Amino acid sequence: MSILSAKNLVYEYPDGTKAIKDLSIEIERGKKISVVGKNGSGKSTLFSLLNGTLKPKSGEIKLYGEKIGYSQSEIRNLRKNVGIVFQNSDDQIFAPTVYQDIAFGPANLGYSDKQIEEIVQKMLDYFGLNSIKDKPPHHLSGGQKRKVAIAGILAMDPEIIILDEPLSNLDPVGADEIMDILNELNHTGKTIIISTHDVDLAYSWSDTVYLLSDGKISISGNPESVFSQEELIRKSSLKTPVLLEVYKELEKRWLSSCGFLPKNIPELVQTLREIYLFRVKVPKGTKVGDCINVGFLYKEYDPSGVYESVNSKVLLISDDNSAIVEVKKKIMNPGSIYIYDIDNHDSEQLHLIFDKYDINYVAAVGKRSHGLADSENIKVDANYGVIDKSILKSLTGGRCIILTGKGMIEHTYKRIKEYSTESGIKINCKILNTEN
Amino acid sequence: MHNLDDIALLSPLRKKNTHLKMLIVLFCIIAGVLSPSPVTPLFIGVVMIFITLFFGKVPKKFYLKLLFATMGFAFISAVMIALFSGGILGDVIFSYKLFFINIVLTTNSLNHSILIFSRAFGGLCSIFFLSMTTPMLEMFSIMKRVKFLNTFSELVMLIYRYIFVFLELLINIRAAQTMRFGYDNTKSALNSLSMLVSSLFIKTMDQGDKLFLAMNSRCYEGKMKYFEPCYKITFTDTIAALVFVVSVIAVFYFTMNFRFF
Repeated sequence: MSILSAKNLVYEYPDGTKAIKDLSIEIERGKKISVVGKNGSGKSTLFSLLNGTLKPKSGEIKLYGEKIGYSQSEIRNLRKNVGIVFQNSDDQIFAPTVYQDIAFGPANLGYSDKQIEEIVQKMLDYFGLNSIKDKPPHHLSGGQKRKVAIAGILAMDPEIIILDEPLSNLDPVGADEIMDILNELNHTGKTIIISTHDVDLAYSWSDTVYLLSDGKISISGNPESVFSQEELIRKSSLKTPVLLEVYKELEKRWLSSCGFLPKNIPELVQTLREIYLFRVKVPKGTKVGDCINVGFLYKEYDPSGVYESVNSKVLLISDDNSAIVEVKKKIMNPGSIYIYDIDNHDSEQLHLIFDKYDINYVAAVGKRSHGLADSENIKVDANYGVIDKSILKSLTGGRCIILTGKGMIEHTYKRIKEYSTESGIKINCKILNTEN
Repeated sequence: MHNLDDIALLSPLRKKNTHLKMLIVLFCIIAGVLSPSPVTPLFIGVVMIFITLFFGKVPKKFYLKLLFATMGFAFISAVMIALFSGGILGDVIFSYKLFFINIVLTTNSLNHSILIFSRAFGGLCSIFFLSMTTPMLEMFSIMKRVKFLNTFSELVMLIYRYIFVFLELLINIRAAQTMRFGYDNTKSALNSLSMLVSSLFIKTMDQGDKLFLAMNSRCYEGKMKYFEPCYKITFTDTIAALVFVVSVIAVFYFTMNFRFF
């Protein structure tokens, strides 16, 4: 269902430059959407139009299928439903304290003081900002400011959250935290739109990608189809995502099977072609048809690899004592992934689980899981792309635990099972302590 | 960077009730000014220094530097009053005729100048206590409470935030200019300064636009609410305040007729 749409938008700056030329866009509910394009392609202008802060010269914007007029109340309704997080947090945070800034939106929406207090407290808890709620913004770090900016918008409970370059000027861990928050928000049903130059992020994260160039949408669709248009991508001063490039090279060399374009590393691994024939050195006197045990997989290949070789059959012997053998590979016991529900947390039980399953890889989803891990003195190995990383780890025999809240459990379990059935590798996945 | 606001923000006494602090300081200033003897304001000053340094955890060096700098002015004024208020009667301690000006030091003028100096000292220490334990943020609640020109206090809230935004900008622009030898001689320094001021001015206008946008996109309707952080008055706070007030009154009462000379 289309929640927000724009049709034939035209916008001209007062000096006459056309920033948006005949642009149409359809935003579907609950999707993750990226708008990519080079600097000055009109991304920020488009966002201001969608939020009603700019008025288009012609064209129309529809919210829930109803055309937006530009009366005070209609604009208010649009802004309540479509929140924008600016690229520069300093432009957005203007109140003297964090608490005041988050409370600004709800106060304008006319909630009672008690409601406002509840909402702000919820935001502070959700973003882990409780310890800095009375601080002035100039005492915050860049990552904290970004969180406050997002919290200030989220406090109005908009259906759609637009973020202009959400990861600019953030360190990698700070960026991971923001992406975690965005993913979690998306799971609770929010529609998320981001603008970005980071093609890797746009490719692996989004459901839909809009490529904006010269004030128009030049192509849109799922990330695989958009980023396969190399010519267009290059013209728009963007690059092909690294993952896609690697895959294309592998495909050209017949190393991976064609079929579908991988969106993340586990999927890329899945496309790799299995190699059955190896050329190895064999002892003298070996005959064609013999079964030998080649230990080479432990020498030439990564010892932490996935496979062990069993009874390889010699197919052909050449003169220089080497032979072509067919290797029957057996996947060594893949590891397991355990999912731990932090809403049913019990300290003693958690430590028992660690002992019992001999956990060697800990992944935490969201701020609360991190807080819990900290308070239990558990070192967290992964905090972003948690599911992918856990799958990769378990493929090489790792025993992972994923700490997550109730909302994400089902999704996590489903993703792992899906991978398991698609790849044919049986990963042991278990939800540990949920009620149902 | 050490500024008074930062010190107040980090002070442990920040979490005490703002109104209580404000009332105590008001009481101190009034008691100091009404007292006919210098002992009461001196007592208030010493207690305030003690509270600010030991409970407020204000860096001692910073505090003393600020105190000496400001008390320096008070000291000079006190000396002037002592020497040049010849009209006040009393025993002459010292007199000297410089050209046609009579410099006369009498017991009364000395007492008078000591009283004025001690009042300045007491008042200053009380104000220091307030400004080093109560950041601007907390003062907003008092502004809003007394319904002190609503629009004005909203403006102050916005201005407060942007002081620091522009301060940072100023430091950055200055650094960029200094890096390229913008302040090497008087002529280039003047030139750089003018560019600094003009670019700051343009930036403030630009920021004003952005602020309007930011407020509008969160449904701003001309009213900015202030949410008072709730710092409760604890039992120990009340007792401590009462003990202080009673002791000041006692000192006031028993030293009323005390004079140094």
